[in-house]
Amino acid sequence: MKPTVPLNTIQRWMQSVIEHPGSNEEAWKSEEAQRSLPFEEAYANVLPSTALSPVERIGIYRQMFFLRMTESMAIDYPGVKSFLGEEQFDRVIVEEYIRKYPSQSYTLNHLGRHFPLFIQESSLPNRDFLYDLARLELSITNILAAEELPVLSAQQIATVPQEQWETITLIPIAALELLEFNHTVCDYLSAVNDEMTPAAPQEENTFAVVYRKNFRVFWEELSAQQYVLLSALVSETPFGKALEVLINRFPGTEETLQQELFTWFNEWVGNGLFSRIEVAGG
Amino acid sequence: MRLSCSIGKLFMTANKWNIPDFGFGVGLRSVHYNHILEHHPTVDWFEVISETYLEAGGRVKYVLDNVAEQYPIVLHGVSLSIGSSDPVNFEYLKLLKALADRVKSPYISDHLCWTGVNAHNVHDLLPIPYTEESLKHISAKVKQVMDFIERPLVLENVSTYAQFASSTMTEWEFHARLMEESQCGMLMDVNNIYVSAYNHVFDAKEFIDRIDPSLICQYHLAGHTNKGTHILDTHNDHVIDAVWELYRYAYQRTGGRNTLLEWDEDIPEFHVVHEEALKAKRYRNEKTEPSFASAVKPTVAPKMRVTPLEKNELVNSMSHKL
Repeated sequence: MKPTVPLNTIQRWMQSVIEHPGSNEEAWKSEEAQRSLPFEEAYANVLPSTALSPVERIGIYRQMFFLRMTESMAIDYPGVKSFLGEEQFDRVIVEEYIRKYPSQSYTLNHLGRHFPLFIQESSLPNRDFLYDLARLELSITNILAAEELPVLSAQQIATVPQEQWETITLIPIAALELLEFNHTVCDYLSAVNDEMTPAAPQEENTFAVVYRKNFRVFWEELSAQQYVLLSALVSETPFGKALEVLINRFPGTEETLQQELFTWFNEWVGNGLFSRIEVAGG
Repeated sequence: MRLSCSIGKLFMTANKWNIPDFGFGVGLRSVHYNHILEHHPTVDWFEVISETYLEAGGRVKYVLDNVAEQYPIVLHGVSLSIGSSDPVNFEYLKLLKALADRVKSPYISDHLCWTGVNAHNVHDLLPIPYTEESLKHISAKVKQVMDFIERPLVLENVSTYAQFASSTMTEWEFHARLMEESQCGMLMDVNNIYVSAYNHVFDAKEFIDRIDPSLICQYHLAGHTNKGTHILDTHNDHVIDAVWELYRYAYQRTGGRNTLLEWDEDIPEFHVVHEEALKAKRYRNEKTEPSFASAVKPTVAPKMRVTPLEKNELVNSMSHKL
């Protein structure tokens, strides 16, 4: 007589076995799996093949699951993986991260969304540096998929009359994020990206802009002044007010800033960081 | 030649939805984006993994919009999870329908499987117990989905590595009854039939024979990896002869159906993938070899321990489904 096991019971059981870290036997005998189906019942409900036992057959799905999860996370977090080493990275993903934050999305592209938070909550060695690094890597992933908007050209900017500059607002492209860190993560990730041996990360207040241009994602370190001004601009503060914010934050630097502003602004426009200009009352 | 073609056509059946036969397509994969945009190869149609494009901006969206302007596109999903005991995810369907409208996909395909339960997604095509309960549940979900997407839903048979003792019918009986009760169509993956026939020791021809040809809307072809104890559906190589022969056999019952070659790991240059897809033409126009039946009979592998599998092989086997 065939066993009758409700669909939901089989599926809860099989999923808990697949997701459980450790050996096949540990997974089948885990508390979670046995809450859905006791071992003997489960064993009787999965048919052996001519070559494989029920445990080995479900084991094929388990092996593929863990490889898929670690591979997917490694694509998004090559820097964290490089720092931890493959063995520890895979262990953290399999035994901790996906247990705490299992995929609940239709796409694996979202699997790593909670990784910075997970690191922040963890007791990993060098946690604070890894948290910064993961934030940078998540930002890169987000920027890759962000909406494409038209880019403001230098010619369009040249059409703004000088007297209107104070009141204009620069609307940023969607594929742009600004980040502040407590470590030298940009250098570290650039070295990993170039397949070089990265220098040991330093504890230091650093700033970065991550953006996409011509469908490629870039990350660049910014000075504190650049970060303050660009942050004000991308939060759609009118240009004049954004400059005030900058000068108030760094008093006594007006003269130097005046010289640098033109260079920064040219660079940002050249990198396509803005999408359009809004003129007050226009 | 002309005579044999005409006789052949007598046995061919139009599909129930009059879905056009676009011809021989290939899966749109990112490694080929540049080639396609630069060279505009003469390809009958492209199949795209729905989930890659549902909310994508940037280059992925740009490429899809360009390809959609030039070629017919069919959406092929991996996360519908129609066999899950969870209810239909209408948020996902909303995105799927919007994408199908945008690229004018005449139908949407996914897999007759489940990918997770209790809102989890393990991102794999997991086997269903073939029971009356499953049939009733999935049939109701299929109807909900088709009402929502306003176009045919076409479900693919998957490669499986496990079977349940509680099943009360075969996979092909289940698929046939599901189509009868819910009015969905079938994407017949000939390689998956071969793989599952090997893994579970059944006759691949019987599977094909038991499916109403008018309900088959599309074929899939792909390569696989034989591990001895079982076959993994890896999509990383040329289609083997026995699978081509199965395609020939199936095609003789249906006639013109969209045919697609899947190649998802160790992907060669575009022309290699396309040439592999075009091989299908040959199998559409030739008679079945008399030796066919013995060629596809599953062999019984010796009992042995499962050794840990190579990481690449496992990732290869899954990456097309991600």
